Amino acid sequence: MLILGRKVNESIRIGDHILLKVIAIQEGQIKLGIEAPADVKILRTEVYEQAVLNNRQAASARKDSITAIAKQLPATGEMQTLSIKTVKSVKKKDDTN
Amino acid sequence: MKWSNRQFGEFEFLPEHVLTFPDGLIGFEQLQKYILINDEDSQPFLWLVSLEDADVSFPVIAPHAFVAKYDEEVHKKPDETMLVIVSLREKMEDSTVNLRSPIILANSMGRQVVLENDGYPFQYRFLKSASTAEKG
Repeated sequence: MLILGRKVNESIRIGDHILLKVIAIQEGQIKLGIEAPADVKILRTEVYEQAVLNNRQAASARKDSITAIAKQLPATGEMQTLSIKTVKSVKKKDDTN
Repeated sequence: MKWSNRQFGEFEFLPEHVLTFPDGLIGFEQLQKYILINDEDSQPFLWLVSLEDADVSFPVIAPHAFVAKYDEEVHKKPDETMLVIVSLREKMEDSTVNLRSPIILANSMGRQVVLENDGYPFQYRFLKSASTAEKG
């Protein structure tokens, strides 16, 4: 890891488009200002990790569990019409072998 | 076109069904092609199914089913579709939806964002308002 010492109001450039500036230091906390293009994701690491954790847990969800939950939901009338095309699921072939 | 998912078996789809996530999903950056499966038994949930890893399928749902003003508050654009990912827990009523990092779809492109507003939790127990009393 590259380590650089910076004082308040000093900054660092990362690549051509990202500027990281030390705004204030108080009581063990550093306030950072970041200038970056809109498409650069900037996240607190613990927030990123939480998002990863949630996705990992969800990725292996079982269909029968979702079916069970779907039955618990109060009927909301017709399903929301999506502007996105969906594929109708075909019953899985019985492959118990 | 055909793909076989572990849960849904083999199914066919058309090129226009394919959703491209240039950055993948968070933690799944290497997977960029998905389709949405509308499984009758799972409604109102849908499945965001990877076309690159047969073991990956995310149950998703439109967030306004739980938070009326969600679309408005996250500044959804008219041509966008918002979905949130469902996480199952051992006890069904502990299952959650991730309101903090929704999926945004538009024109066959998708992305997962993380909202600045931490008023929206990563783990929102969406069944908590439903009756927890057991009959009998």
